[in-house]
Amino acid sequence: MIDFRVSEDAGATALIIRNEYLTQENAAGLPAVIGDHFDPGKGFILDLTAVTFIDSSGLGAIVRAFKDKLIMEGITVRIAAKQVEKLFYITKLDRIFRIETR
Amino acid sequence: MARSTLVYRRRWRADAGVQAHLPGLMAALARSPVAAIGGDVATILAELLANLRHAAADTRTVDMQVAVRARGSAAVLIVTDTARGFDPVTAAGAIDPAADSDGVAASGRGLKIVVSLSERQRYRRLAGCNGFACRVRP
Repeated sequence: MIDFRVSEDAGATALIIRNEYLTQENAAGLPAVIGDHFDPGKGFILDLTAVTFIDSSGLGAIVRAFKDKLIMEGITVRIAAKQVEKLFYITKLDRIFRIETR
Repeated sequence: MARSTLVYRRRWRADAGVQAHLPGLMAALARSPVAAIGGDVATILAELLANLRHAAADTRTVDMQVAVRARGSAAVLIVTDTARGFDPVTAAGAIDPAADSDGVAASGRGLKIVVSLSERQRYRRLAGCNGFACRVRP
């Protein structure tokens, strides 16, 4: 189950994920959560700073959530954990999303 | 050959998922000589678990024995399970990449991660058990 809150961040919608882990066990619900809060007319920040561990299912859920959006490159993913950042680079998702590290 | 030190050994239950194991695994790795690559070791285990779990959909046991040994600054990861014969790296093509959720982990992205983070992968089937070992880059 995805634990999250939504806030405004410099005019963009920030979806803040509060789960420590984002894996096969809980990632399936993420596309729906993103879909509910994504506004194509605004910037969007996916804040993963509380996430310390992600696997390919977590990454897949993020990609699935945005794959039908036309402005994927305008989306910022905010990351704190080294493991999470590394997986975005290994899978080349840093070329699709704007990565912001904390 | 360099000496190795046992860092972590547990039985993992695949149907419990990876999250139940992460705190214990991460704590053991943080105290070990391979603390610097602890995140990579945990990532590989998570991806292997996803693949083995997917392949064992015939409902036979997918309990796994997981061991991590430190060898110098690299980690050697050994996973054995008694599910049907399945090499989680080379047999990936047998998995439907269009499948949702589980399939995302079990298809190309998860395997790319395993191969990217490890130098060598070795699979053996012996006495009804799968044995998979890989060396995680320091």
